[in-house]
Formats: sequence, structure tokens, C-alpha cells
Amino acid sequence: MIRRWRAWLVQVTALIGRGRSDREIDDELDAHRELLAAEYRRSGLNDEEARRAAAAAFGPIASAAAIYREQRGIRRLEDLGRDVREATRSLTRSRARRRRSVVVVALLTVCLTMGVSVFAIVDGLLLKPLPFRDAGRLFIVGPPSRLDPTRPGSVDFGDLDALRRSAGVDGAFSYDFDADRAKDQFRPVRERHVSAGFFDVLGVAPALGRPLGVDDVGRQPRAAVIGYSLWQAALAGDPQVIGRVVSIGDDRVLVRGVMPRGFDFPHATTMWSLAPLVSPGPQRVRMRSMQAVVRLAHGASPAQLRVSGERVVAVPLAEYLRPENAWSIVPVSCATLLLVVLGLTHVTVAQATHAVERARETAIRAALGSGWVRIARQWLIESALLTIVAATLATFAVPAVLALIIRLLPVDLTFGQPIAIDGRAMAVGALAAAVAMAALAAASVVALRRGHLPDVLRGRIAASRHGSAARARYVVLGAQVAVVTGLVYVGALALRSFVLADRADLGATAEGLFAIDWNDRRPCDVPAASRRDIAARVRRLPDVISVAFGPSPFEPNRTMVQFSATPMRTLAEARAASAIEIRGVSPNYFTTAGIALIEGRPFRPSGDERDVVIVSQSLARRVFPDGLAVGRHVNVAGPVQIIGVVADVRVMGPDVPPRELVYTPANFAGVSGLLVHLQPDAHERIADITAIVRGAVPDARTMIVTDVATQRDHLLDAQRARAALLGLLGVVSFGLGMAGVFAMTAETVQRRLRDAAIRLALGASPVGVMRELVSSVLSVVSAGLLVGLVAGGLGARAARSLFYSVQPGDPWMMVTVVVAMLASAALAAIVPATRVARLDVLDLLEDE
Amino acid sequence: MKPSKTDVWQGTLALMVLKTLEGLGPQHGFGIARRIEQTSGGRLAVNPGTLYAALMKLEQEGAIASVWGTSENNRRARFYRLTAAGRRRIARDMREWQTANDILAQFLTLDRPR
Repeated sequence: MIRRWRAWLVQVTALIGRGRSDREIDDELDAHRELLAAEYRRSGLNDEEARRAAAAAFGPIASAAAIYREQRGIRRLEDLGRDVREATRSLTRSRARRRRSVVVVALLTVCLTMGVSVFAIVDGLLLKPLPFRDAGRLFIVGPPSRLDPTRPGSVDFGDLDALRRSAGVDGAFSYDFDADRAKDQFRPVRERHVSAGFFDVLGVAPALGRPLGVDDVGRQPRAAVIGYSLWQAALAGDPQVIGRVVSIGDDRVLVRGVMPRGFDFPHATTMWSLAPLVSPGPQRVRMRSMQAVVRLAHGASPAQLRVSGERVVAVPLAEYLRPENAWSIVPVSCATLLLVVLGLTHVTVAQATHAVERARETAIRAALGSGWVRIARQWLIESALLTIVAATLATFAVPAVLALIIRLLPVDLTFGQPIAIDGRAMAVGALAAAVAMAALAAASVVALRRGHLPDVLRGRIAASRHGSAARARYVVLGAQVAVVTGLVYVGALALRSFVLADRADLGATAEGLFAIDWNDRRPCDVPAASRRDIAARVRRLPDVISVAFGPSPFEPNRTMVQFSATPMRTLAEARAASAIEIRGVSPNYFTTAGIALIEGRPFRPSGDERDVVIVSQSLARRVFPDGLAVGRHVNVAGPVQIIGVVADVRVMGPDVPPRELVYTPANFAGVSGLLVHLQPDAHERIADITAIVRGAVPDARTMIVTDVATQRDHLLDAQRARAALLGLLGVVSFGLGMAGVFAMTAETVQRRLRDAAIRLALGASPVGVMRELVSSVLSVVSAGLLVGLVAGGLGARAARSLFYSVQPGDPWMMVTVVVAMLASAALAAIVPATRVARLDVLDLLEDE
Repeated sequence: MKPSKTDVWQGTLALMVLKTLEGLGPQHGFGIARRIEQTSGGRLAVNPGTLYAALMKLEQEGAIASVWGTSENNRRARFYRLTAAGRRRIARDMREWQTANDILAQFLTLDRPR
């Protein structure tokens, strides 16, 4: 067996390196014949007789060489090698063929790259299961959230215990879901408190050490499992740290385990420790601050679960973690898929046309004895070569394109599911490449067999005059125009949306504004005297236009407060109150942040008012639909009076409803930071300002400086990226589509040249013939345009959420797209049609 | 009368080549063919195509190795030599042939039924 494998291996190696050359074989056989002749000479024959006798005894040298060569390599592989060499020569024979091969490879590369990249994203976001054991049985559960009753709200330890004991639950754990210390991407230690059972219920185990256990509860210093990145960065990947107390940053923890690389749940956590147990007192409102996850038993339903006698809302963990707008990538994916199909159609049409153009060459091959199987095999090998080159190029292009798309995507992809080129994406890529290869080969062979090959095999070359083939070509042309028009229309809407989103009014100023926050944006009491001192000293600095206390107008983190238009006297009333974001601000905050006062008055400059609030317009409208909010009394952790209404700030971006906000004087809710308006390019003043704050607010330990203009840009990024992506698809499809329309029109005209020549010979005017050619193509294009516009309009309507401030049926955009498409199609038709005017009728008919 | 020559039997040429190289040492294809014909008393004819295909196969299997040298008539020729694997193979093939030969001999000496 080994002997046979060795021989096979040597044969294959010989095939690649060509092994013993033909020349060596001939030399060896010649030497044999010479030795034979020498023997005859020794027996007394003269030179000539000896050579003749040796030739007769040796037999035909060609047949000996053939047997010898047979052993050299594997015959089929040799045949394949020969076919590949022939196909390579055929694809690169002339400049025109090389150009054509490059175009086909480029189109295929684009199709494969786009297809695989988009699949990787769709798979990662929507299809792939979470990397936990039997992840389909994991649910996030909790009482209905106050902000959105369809989502599970937070729980406390009492609720978690109840869930653990419920029938149909195999296990449950909780994690703190709103921990500021876990959110700051710039901190290496991002710690989450989890309950015991976190690792068991998820079905994950540390790569080193062990998970946290019940014996770790209440331990000092606290026990923690750390993430792989933190282990590498802070502890140099030292495996000896397990079971030891180590210093990480300014903290000391007992390291129980290290999670495997890539484990990222909850997202961006680098340290997991046990939550300190807080027993809920019967007399006070229980603080629910954790998210609960349960693992249901096989066949159990979350419907029967209860906490505090209340039915819970349960959402599959995968669905809960999936970004809210993950489904918004579906239209983008469909558009890409269409683009890929469009590209493949172009390639196959081009290949079929090329096959017909090579009918003469095929006829010669047929005359030399090649059957259609042999001819089909050659086309298959040519197609395979083109596809392999394209697939190789795509392998290099995919990572870059994937990274670009991920950057452009309007979706927060940081949800614990890695998006990468894995085995699934590779398999899809290989499948797409195989389909492309089969389509290329089939297009060529079908084109030859249906239109030409029977004639070719009979030794005749005939132009296709089949009416059905011509009709089919027109249908393909119309369908292409429809697809391109739809994509271009959606792309045009996206580009318009891009421009509008860029100029979107978010309700506050951003240019030149800087927010300086302390202590992870936790509000703290800064006495009025200190505030006045800070403001006065900052204002004295050069380049400072104004200064106020309060957060960035676009601050995403929030401090919530119970809000009610009626007094909250009982626990039930308190629970019924809605949670509203509260911001402690100084009197000049609104002018500094550029937030317009719509009615009422601002806080008094003295800053010592109590029990008054200013509310945002959307809150005022919701609570007081009569429009009379100013002067009314509401409850914000106590009775207060509304003294003013200010414009809404779109904290979450231009297309998300504004947050309802309650502004209170800084002395009421404490302040979390300073907002400074600086002259352009004066950000070097920030260091002076932070020094002043540090001197005046001893509690301000950590300082975070936010450029509000950058923060505003981030809010617009999603819109702009989404629009840019769709616009890019529109532009690419326009280019691809026009190339296809041009090629098909040119091919159609080319095929009709003979008819045109006959008509010219019969006295028709060249202009008339040209006009007819162009109008026949344009009528097909117009039909495609109409279908495409309707489809594009419907598509845009279905994906309306992707656009900012544009209507799916925008008439001006429709007119623009129709004019652009018609102009391009007319150009594509006219240029080849002008060849009619230059036709030499006699030459053409003689050729036929 | 000169005995008529027979083609080499299927499957036996490899062993003949190996045994020849074992006896003669490094040898070119012509020398091997001549030696086989001589050893058979002129009763076997070696077809050059078959011989060189067999030599290439043995070389691919590692039983022999080859190198270009100069023949007795000062011509460039490829010389084949036995490798260690080839020696092991001779021993094994001989055992197998011996077994086959013994079995066949027993059949040939069976008494005819009366």
C-alpha cells in the first residue's frame, strides 16, 4: 500500500514538475538503440546494416516512448494539465481575450466578495446561534420594563430566587445591566457583577481555573474571573495567577479563572465578580438593578414564570442581545444579493456571447474530431480557471471589504457575536464560486448547442436567427434594466437622505462645545459657591465664550427619576409613575448648549431656586396635551412646578424620537459636569479648565472630556453610514447595470447587422435603420424602467426606516433616475448602432 | 532449432530487473534487457517500451534509483542501481514466488483420475 502511495505521489509530483522530460526519454531510448547497433557492428555488420538491424529489432521508437511516457504520470491528470494549459492559452491568446478575461474575473471577484462579506454579516447578526451550550433555551426574563412593557425589566435577588425555584427552569443567573464601570471602552477593567450560576447556566467554562462558586460570596478581596484580554494586558498572560490575589489597576482581586479568548458576554466585560447580596427590606421599594437569564428545561415554556405574582416578559437571549436595528441590514443584503445576481447575469451573458463569437474556432475543433462533450469540457475548464482566479482574489478582498461594510453599517455590531469569515462563510463562498463556474460553462455550451453547435458540428457557421433567442435576450435586457433601476432609485433616495441627515437639526449646538464630566458622570453636590467660583475662573480664561453646569446635550448615559403628573402617595402610585431622565443644569445651560426656550422662563441666575423644573417639549405635549404646561405642578421625587418648556434634543440621533427630559436647577439633583463653549481651535484650554475643576471640586476624581461636535457626528454616523452604503450599492449597480445594458445592446445590434445590411441593400436609409434599432432597444429599456421604479418605490417604502426625511415616492427623484437611466441606455444603444452607417453591405453578405 | 521467443510474463519483469541489478550492479536499460534474455537462454524477448515503463515504475516506488553516466560506446546513458528498499523487495517477492511455485507444483504433480 505504502509503495503504491509513494508511486502515486511521485507521479503527481512529476506531473507538477513535468518529471522525466520527453527529451530524456527519447535520449534513453536512443542510447538503447545505439548500444544494440554497436552489438550488431561487433558481430560483423557495417554501420548502415547495423543501424537498420537495430531499428528492426527495437521496433517503432514512438510506441516504446508512448508506453514509457504512460508510466511517467497519471494519465487523466496529465490530460487535465494539458487542458488547463490549453485553456490558459485560449483565455490569454490575444489582447481582446486578455481584456475580456480580466473583465470577467473582475466582475466575478466583485460578486464573490460582496456575496461572502454580506453573508458573514447576516449570518453573524441574524442566523448564527449564540456561542453558548444549547443557547435556544436561554431567555432574558423579568417583569415588564417601565420604558417598554414588551421588554423584560430588571429584577432583584428575591425575584431571581423565585425564578430559580420555578417549575420548568433548569437554572438562572443575573448580571448588572447598567453598570457604568462596565461601559467605558477606554477602561481596561470593565467589571460586571453576576450571580453565582452565571457560568453554569450559560454552559461556558473558564479556559484556566474555575468559575465563581458559592464559597466566593462575600470574600475579601473579592474573587473574580477575568477576561482573556485583561489577563494578557494586565497580567502578561501569567498562568500562575489562578488562586492568587493580584493588583489590577488600583484594585486587588482574587483571580479564580480566565475566560477563553473571544468570550464577550455581557458585551465588553473584562472582569466578572459576584454581586454583593442585598436583602430587600419589607418597608422600602426594592431596588431592581439586574437582568435575569433563565435556562428553561426541555419542552418548558416561559409563559408560566412569575415574579412577585406578576407574569414575566421573556425574550430569547439571542433576540435580546441582537442589536435593535439588526433587521435593517436585510434590505441592504437583498440589494447586495440582487447586485450579485446582476453581476453573474452579465458574466454569463458575456460568456455566452463570447462562445458564439468563437463559433468558427469551435467549428474547426469539431472538424478535427472533437465531439461536443470535449468542447463542453474545454468551456468548463476555462470557466473553472476564471472562477478560481476570481475566488483567490476574493479571498484577499473579503476581509478588507467586510471591515469596510462593518464600519459603514448602521448597526451596533458589538453584541457578543463575532462577525468574521468562518467555515460557514467559506462554504457559502465556495458554493457561490461553484454556481458561478457552472453558470459560465452552461451559458457557453447552451449558447453553442441551441444556436450554433448543431450547425457547427455539421461544419457550418450560422448567425442565430431564432426568434425565441432574440425574445429571451430582450427579456433579460428588460429584467436587468428593472433591477438596476430599482437599485439606483433606492441608492438615489439614500444619497439624498445622506445630505439631509448631514444637515439635520438635533435641537442643540455642538460646534465648539466640550463637556467635562467627573466620576463616571455620576451627579455630585457642588455647593453654589464652588460653582460660582469655577464659572468665574473658567470665564476669565481666553477663548471661553460661555460656561454652564450640566451634561453634554447629547449625553447618552442617563439618570432616571420617577415622574408623575399626580402626587405619588402609595407604593402602587410610585410604581405606576414613569421613569424620566433628569438633568441638573445651571441657569445659563440652555443658552450655552443652544437649546431654545419655547415658553416660560429659564432658571433664575442666582441658581438657588428649589422645586421648579423645565421640561422638554415632547414631555410637555405628552403629559399636558392642552399645551398648558407652564405653571402646572408635577411630581419629580416630590412636588415641583414647571416654569418653562425647552426644545427637544434628539439624543439618540435624527431618526429616533427625542427623549423626554426634565431639567432641574443644579442644586437640586447635583451636577455631573461642566459644559464649555470655546472659540474654534481652542481645545488646548481644556487642560486649564480641568485643573480649575480639580482644584474646586475635591470629589471629582476621574475626568472625561467629550467633544460634543464629535458626539453629534457619531449620532449622525448611523444615518450617514446607512445612506452611504445604500448609495454605494446604487452607484455600483448603476455602473454594473449600464455595462450590462451596453454589452447587451451592442450584442443585439451586432446580431441584427445582417438584417440591417439586407435592408440597406434594398434601399432603406441608414438613419432609418439606426432609429429602428435604437427605438427597439429603448422600448425594452422603458418597460424595464417602469417596472424597476415601481419595485424601487415599494422597496424603499418597505425600508422606510433606513431613510431620513425622504419619501419613498419622491417624484423629483423618480424623474432624475428616469432621465439618467434613459440617457445612459440611449448612449449604450446609439454608439453600436452608428456602426450601421459604416456598414459595407457587400462585405457583410459575402462573409455570410 | 532456435527456440521461439516469448514475451516476459505479466508481473515477473520487476523481479527479473531487480535480480539482474542485484547480480550485475548498476546497469543501463540495454544491459538489463540483454542480461534477462541471456539468463532465459534466449527464450524471453524484452520489449523496450515495457522495460523502461517497468524501470520507471520501480524507480517511482523507490526500489531502484537512476543516474546519467557514460556507456561502453561512450554514449550518454541512464544507469540504474538497486536501493535498500529494492533489496528488501527482492527478498519478499522471492518468498511470494516460491510459495506460488510450490502451490502450482502440487497441482502439476496431481495424479490423473483413473
